Amino acid sequence: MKIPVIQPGEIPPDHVSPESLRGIPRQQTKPSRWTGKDWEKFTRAVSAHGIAVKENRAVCSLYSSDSGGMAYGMPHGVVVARSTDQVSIIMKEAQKYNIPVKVRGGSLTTEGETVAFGGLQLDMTGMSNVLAIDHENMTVRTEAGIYWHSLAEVLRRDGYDYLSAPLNMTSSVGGTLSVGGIDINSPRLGCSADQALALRVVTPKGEILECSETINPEIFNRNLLGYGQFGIITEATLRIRNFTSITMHYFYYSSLSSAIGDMMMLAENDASDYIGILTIMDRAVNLLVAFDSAEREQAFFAKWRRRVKGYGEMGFGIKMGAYYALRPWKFKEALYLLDRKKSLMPEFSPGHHMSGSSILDRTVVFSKAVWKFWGGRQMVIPDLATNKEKFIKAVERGNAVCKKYFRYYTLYCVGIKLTGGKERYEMSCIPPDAGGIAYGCEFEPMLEDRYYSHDYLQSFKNEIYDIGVDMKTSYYRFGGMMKGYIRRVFGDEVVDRHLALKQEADPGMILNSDVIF
Amino acid sequence: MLLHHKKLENAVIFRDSSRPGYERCNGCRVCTLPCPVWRETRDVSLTHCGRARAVQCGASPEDIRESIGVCILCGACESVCPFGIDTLGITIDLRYMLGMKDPDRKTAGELIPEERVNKWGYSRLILPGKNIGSDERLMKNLRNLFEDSETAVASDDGSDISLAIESGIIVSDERKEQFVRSLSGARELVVADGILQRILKKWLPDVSITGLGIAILNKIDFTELIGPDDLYIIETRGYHGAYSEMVREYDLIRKKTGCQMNLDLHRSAIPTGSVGRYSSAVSPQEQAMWIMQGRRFKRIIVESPEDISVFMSVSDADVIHVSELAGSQHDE
Repeated sequence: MKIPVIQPGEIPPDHVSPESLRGIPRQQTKPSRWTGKDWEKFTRAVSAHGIAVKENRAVCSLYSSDSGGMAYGMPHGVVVARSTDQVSIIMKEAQKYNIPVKVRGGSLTTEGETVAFGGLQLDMTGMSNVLAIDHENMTVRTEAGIYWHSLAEVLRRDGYDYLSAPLNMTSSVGGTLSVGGIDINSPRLGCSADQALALRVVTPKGEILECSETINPEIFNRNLLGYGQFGIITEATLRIRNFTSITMHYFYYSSLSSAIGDMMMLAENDASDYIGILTIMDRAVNLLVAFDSAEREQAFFAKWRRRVKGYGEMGFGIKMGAYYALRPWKFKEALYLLDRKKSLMPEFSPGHHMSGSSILDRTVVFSKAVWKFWGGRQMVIPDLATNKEKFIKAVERGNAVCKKYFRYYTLYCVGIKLTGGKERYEMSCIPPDAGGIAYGCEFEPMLEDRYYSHDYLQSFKNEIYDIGVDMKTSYYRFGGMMKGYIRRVFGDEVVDRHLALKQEADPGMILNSDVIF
Repeated sequence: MLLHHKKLENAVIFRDSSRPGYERCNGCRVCTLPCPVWRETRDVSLTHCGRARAVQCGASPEDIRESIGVCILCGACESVCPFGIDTLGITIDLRYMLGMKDPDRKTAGELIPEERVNKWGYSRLILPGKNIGSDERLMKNLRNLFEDSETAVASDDGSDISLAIESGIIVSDERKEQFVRSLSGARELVVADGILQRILKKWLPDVSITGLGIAILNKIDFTELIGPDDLYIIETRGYHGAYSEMVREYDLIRKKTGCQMNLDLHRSAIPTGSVGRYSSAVSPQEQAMWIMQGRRFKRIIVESPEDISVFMSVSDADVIHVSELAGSQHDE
């Protein structure tokens, strides 16, 4: 799809709003917009089962936004879930009274997907117990509201770790499994959702079901990467592994395509245990590779290091020095890069999280840095997820959009190993045409303390997402405020099929409405 | 800026105003991870994050009274906040604001008798805190360790001031002045009470303030006395109050001795909640069980005397106060 160039002063049609899309019919997916009807009856019914619904404004206001800080809403009331049975009762009563239920774990969405615009906010973090560790089969059974970090705290006491999870300590297990979950070891191990072996799910109608690849497989596959449309994950069995510290190496590039080429080459050849790209604009591109063992590290240096085009820190410093010496008008940019490097790099090797040159607690180290250097009251992180062939082009186009809108920004690129053509991948962040390893890039402007209007930020996101429509890619964050893109990118046939499934599973369309449908 | 933001700024008694306040909170919830209240209740509204977000959205201290009350002021949230928010100071200030609305509001201000005022002439004063001060055995250990012509145990250790601050009660200027004046002759203060450590750093910026645990360990050859079979329980308020220094100090001790500590993956110290005011949200025994989970040890060494009975109630291992290590050195 071509987005017309809009001249200054001309008010364009809203190319996201369904009304403006010729040929794409508007679909009224929900029977009607909820107006607060029967809320009291619902709370009375739920309270009769001993479930506390907090309607205090001070409590409800805690849930008024998500990590993105762009969407604001208020629930009528909040329940902190304590058991699967409670969740089941809530869903049964919610269907009966047609009450919207918005579920949240760590609320690390950026498009308002976990924000309740009225109705009930179901806070799953009340279910945060680790239930059992199976040492023989190397699995853990946990309540799904638990943060990955809290799970790691418990596992570490027995010398274990989870396999892959977002580099963010306050992502919840249930929320992550519902959307994917990407780590820098995902090129080897796949997304977090692919680590799940079994789930306990409460369906939108309130039925409690156990599911796995063999028991209720359709429920299992609908709920993994299902964006919370087909149930609420209350428990999960996950693979675990023995804990290892990791050794990190950095390679620096001034060319995005070279760095991405190397990342893909290393990922496709399983040359490292962890790999990803983190940039400061497109000027300082950092390819990070890391290893769980000395053997893997040695094998990398013996076989692959020579093929990596990136510089070491000193070599890159000299190259950059020469570049900016010839371009004195870019003095400010050079200062920004220097300052950023100076403050950022020590955060990746704090003494108390290190054992020699190995990082002991990679999630803590990375997550702290992520929040400190990329976090803020508002966060805008559009992304593109593509197959191998399209990735460099997609990142370059996205990078051009970043440059157009912002002076400073960061790109974060990772790979995701795919395990076959799983049913769950359809209409998810996994691009439909990807095989082997899919790739994703997040485009994050550094908003810092500058003020940008909501429209400006939304326009930026739209322009990134338009690339996805044009190149037929997918996205990680296509729900909530970005859901206008769902039909455009996945097509009517797929969306209608999922809508029919949703309507069957959730007749009142009350569970996590406005996320996808 | 909302009106109550201003009110809070004006009410600052404990907060470090050079650091960001609750308005900087973006709800990342990282502060909940080491929070004992969060661990035991899994209710974000009872955590710093909950309070900050509620105040941002217009809640008054009265609206979040329960949340303000249950915090045990361990300061773990402060050590992990990515934005460096003065979480502890904000909570104490909120307590103060709640107290302002109390018709029976009290001011801590009774001057102590002249004979109990700290005497000048010592370069180092030990402020043992109420619980050590009332334990003859522990006091004897301290005297054995520290007493020399330059050092004295303070007769006025400011326990009343610490309790007042923790409770959000304003300390009268007279009492504050009496206390600070009696300490200002010293070059070094060894302070057992973590809240008092923080406030004294503010009131006496030129005086070196050391926690009791570190001061004792610096006095003995701890590498001979602590080993891999020990679980060492750090006093959390002082530790988090000077986190960036303390994390390095204790990391070194851990590496030198091979002992285990009540540290989580953040290197925040897990509190038992036995120190200070009682919190209905935190069970010291539950917290102690969490500290011990999956850890193998034969002896528990505590910095806070309150933790002795807590660990004795949930463990068969020997439990000793850190000052008793000196005794074992003397015995040898």
